[in-house]
Amino acid sequence: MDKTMNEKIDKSRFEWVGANVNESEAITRPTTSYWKDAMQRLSKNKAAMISLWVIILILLLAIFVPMLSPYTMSEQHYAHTSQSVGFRDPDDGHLHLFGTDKLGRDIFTRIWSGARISLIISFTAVFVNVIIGIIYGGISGYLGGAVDNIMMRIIEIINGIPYLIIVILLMMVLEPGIVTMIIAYAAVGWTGMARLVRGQIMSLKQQDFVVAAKVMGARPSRIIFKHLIPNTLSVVIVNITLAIPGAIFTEAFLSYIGLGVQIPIASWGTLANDGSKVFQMYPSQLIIPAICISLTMLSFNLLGDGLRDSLDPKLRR
Amino acid sequence: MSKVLEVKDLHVSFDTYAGEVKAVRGVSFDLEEGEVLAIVGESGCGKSVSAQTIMKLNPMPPARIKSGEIILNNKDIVKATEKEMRSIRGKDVSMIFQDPMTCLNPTMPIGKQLVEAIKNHQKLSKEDAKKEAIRLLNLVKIPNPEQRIKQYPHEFSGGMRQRVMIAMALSCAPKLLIADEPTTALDVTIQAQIMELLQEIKEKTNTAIILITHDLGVVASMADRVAVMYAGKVVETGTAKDIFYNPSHPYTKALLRSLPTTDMDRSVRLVSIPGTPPDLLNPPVGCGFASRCENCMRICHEEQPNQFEIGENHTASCWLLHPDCPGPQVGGDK
Amino acid sequence: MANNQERKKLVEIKNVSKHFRVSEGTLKAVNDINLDIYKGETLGLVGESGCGKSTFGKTLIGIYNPTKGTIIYHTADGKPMEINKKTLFSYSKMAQIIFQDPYSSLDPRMTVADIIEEGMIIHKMYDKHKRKERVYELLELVGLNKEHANRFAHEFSGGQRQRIGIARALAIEPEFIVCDEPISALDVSIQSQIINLLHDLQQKLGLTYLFIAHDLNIVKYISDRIAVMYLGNIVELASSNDLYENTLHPYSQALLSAVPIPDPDKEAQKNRQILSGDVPSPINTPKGCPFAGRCPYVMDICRQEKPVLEMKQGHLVACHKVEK
Repeated sequence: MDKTMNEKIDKSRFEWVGANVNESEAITRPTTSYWKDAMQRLSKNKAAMISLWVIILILLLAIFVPMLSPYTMSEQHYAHTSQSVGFRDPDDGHLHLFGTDKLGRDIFTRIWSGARISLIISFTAVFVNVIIGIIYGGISGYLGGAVDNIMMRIIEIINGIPYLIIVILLMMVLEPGIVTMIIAYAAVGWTGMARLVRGQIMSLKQQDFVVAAKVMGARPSRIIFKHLIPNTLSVVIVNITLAIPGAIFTEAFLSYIGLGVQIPIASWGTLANDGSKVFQMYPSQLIIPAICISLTMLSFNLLGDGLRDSLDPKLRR
Repeated sequence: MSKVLEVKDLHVSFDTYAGEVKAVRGVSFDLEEGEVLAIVGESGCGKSVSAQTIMKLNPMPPARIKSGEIILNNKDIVKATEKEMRSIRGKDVSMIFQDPMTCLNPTMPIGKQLVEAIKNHQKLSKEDAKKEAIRLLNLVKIPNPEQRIKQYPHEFSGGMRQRVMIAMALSCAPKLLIADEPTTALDVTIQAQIMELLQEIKEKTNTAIILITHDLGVVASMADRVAVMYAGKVVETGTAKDIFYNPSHPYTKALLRSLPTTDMDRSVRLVSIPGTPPDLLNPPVGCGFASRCENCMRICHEEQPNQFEIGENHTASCWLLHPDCPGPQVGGDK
Repeated sequence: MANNQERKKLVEIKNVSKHFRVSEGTLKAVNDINLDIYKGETLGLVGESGCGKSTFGKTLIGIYNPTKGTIIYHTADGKPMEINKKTLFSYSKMAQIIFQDPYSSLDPRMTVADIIEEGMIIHKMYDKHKRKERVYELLELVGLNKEHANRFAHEFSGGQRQRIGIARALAIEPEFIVCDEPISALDVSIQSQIINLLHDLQQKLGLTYLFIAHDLNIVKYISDRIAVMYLGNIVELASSNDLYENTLHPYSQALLSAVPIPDPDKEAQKNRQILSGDVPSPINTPKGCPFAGRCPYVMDICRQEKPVLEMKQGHLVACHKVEK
């Protein structure tokens, strides 16, 4: 065993100081709420941060390009149809960043107008699903027992119905278009969120702090709104972020096969459809909307994964 | 009596997103054949990390051995490669954990798991390995081992699972057994059974045991020697009698005083240690216990104390023991 | 310690049982408990896993409804109140609970101030300003300080969280507190801090405690009387000193002898009684004495007839072997 030589030490250093409890009870780190801490952790995740910036960029382009572009999405220039990427229009001197389509429309403007449609539909559809899901899952999880049993069986029945059939049926009844798609999505898409919220609430119900509130005399409404739902939010947020790519793809797919957005409205799906018709001659007209769809989906997925890790309390410190 | 294990000035840190957590800050201890060394301390003191580092069980990263030596049966653990570690684990040193349920595979019958552990290090046929498994279950006093080897972990009670884990740990007769809080999760009467079992096994096989615990009763019952850890360092080492009857470090003394004895009643206040252990993300420059120590002196905040000898093989790291120190002031020895 | 004539009953537990239906049968967690808890005392409740002490504590506080039997609480104005769905809200102001796990007993989304204040809001006590003051008072009372009020639970250590839990329980000024293993999850040096705190609070505020724990040394230290539970039944009930000086029930004897003492010489000399077998399951328990399967002194009658908790040799014990 190592033992250093005991050198002589000045007596003054042995002056009594005593315990300083406040120093040891003090919390040395600055206060962080749960969200702040989660955001700090997220910022260390490179993939998630890049995805976040990509999404912000896409949103900004979707908002501002149609507003500021010299072209509208439906303006047709027959003189310059199907021009390639980066074509400068000799008539008015503007740059067609993504070229033009077979009717001479500026694809760049159309892509970002289409982005608005695709994103609005996806966000709305997911939002509706989330609201229904939280309410349904919340009630089922909180009440438990027979009520929960019945509500879960209903979900299983709904899950058995293919989304496509609902859309087609609805389209026979209603006008095909944006609203129909959202209704169809809302009719069957909420089950995932409901199950998730139900599961969270069932496990939260057993936690001591919920029991403590009950013993304190809290009414069910207080328990649900002050304790259960705030603690479910992190799971809900992650799920929303991961549900959006699914909604984007569904919209794109339906519009591609003609069951979604109808002319004259353009979405990424319809643009992909247009592009696929001339793919062999002008590949960029399909590739560009495809990249937009893929990139957006990927970004939301990576962001959602990052959020899930950073919001998970078990992975803290 | 040869030394089974020598740990010299071990420093282990964890690289977390908040910074470097210095979990082990210069720990030294050693162990002879057949000896039981208890490492006592509270959560966060570094005892588990030290023990896991002996077997290199901590994933590295984020763990990192900064410096120090670990010599096990004349093998240098710090420099050993992962391949070398695989042949060392289970054969030279083995470990049992607090919660046996997390160490036993719930989808495999325990007989199969035992056989796997045996065949890892010994060239035995399946039949012979099975016989060895039954012998081990008898050693740990599990009744009807021939039938029980077909059963799954969830069919055993907590105490039984702990015995199975002990059987697995002993399957290759290691010279060193590390028991990390083996009885903390068990009921008191089951704890008594397991402690008795460990004593018997130690006597039969002469295995050295490192017993990590925070329960001083368990220490008094089983340990030959004790190392008291606080804030990543060993603050006092000695025989069990040294530690209990002549505690020299203020933390050890305070720890012993905070335990109610059966002849105390509420008219005597329990002596508690005010405050909480330091954050090892920013460990203090001086002695880790300084801000909670009633005898704290100026030098305690400035510099970490050396190890001072109190008796034969009894040392403590405290400035009060320095020859120039005028003795404990205010408070002193109650 | 008050003598028997001065002692006022605070809680009367009459024939209380709590059973759960599980897939394998009936889980009899608590079986026919008769007990009185007196005002100002600390009643310790010990036993091993599956003995039902935690379930009993939770039934007493209203988390579970008793399957059989009644619980009567004597309010400050002298009226005995039976605990049922209707009276549960008023009861919650008089009886509170401290939980074992400091990590799951505080809402991670709420600040410390919110956590402590919640009870006062629910019971409509004071106005906003006074409540805030009271939060600060309570923090100081439990050894924390004002600066901690705006922090979140995860920023505190286990011992500090447990103090927050205590402050929360005290906020609505209860008289009776069930302490459900309040120190089991804490480090040894912190345990004594919390025990001292609980003791001080009892002196200051005149509280009555049911102290559920498995650490016998601590229970002996803090309790006036101790009840030993086995498989849902009380097998022995005595004052702390009596239980140690004259341990009557074979299970109590085994339990006390199994506890290791932090003294190497005493441990070496100890004649430890090692119980064979495992702690049994409370599902579908056989008739007769619950301890018959492991008792070293078991007789035929033990397997046939369940012993009654009655006064023998100065305190209550449920055992056929013990003579009066």
